[in-house]
Amino acid sequence: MIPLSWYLILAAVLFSIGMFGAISRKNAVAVLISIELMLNAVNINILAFWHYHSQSLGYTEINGLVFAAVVIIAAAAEVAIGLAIIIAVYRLRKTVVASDINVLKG
Amino acid sequence: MTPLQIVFLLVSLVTIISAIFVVSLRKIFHAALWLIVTLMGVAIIFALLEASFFAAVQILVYIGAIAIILIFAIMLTRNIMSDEEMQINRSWGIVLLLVLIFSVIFISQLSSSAVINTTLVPLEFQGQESIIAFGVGLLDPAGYALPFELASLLLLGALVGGVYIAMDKKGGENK
Repeated sequence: MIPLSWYLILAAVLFSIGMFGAISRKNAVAVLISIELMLNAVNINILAFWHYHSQSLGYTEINGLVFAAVVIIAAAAEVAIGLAIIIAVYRLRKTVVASDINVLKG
Repeated sequence: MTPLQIVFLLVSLVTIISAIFVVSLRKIFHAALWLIVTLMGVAIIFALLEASFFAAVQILVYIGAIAIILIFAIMLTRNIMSDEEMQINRSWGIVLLLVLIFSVIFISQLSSSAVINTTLVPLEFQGQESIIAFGVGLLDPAGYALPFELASLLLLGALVGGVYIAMDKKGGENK
């Protein structure tokens, strides 16, 4: 009974909030948190379209579910690697401010 | 207004407000706690979409694992960035403007397209049928068996790589 567009607008607003955080936060952990928000918005979109496609087909369409699962798996791997990098950089440079991490700058 | 729509509006309001807290709060630890509220709201949205498996996975993986790992990382790097200094960089005004333009364009395009008239109705099949179909599709060699195995390899590689990157290679000589 809920319009499809409500889900899409909610996902767009969440994605925008996450994008604002990912670009403007200074702390590298906060950037990772914002990226989590963006990935959640993407998953809402995927599952909303999965529901719409399943209801018009009359049976379960599994492609959307597999995509959502891949997004969750990629998010888990991204957080594990991202936090490991942040901890390694923190040990090397004693900072978590994203603009101060310029080890690769020549 | 059906009861389901009222539930959706309440949940999305809580989700959006806590997401704004996540990106704007000065104390990073409080931001991580508000992230848990946001993830819980998204899990309820998944349940409203009749994706019950993903509602459970959202709670198990995001709240149970990712949020806790983030809190661990915040506590490990805690005292290096004081909570009093500015948490967002100088160009946040431009970023806010760009993000607002993005959302206005998206919502106006959405409301002028045919999608605005589409309504999601409850699915005709039981929720467990979709979970069984999902499981069969993941293990079917003609379906998604290969991406499923690749995903498990990706997780293993990320785990080993994460341990290797975060390992103290000097043996803690800086103590």
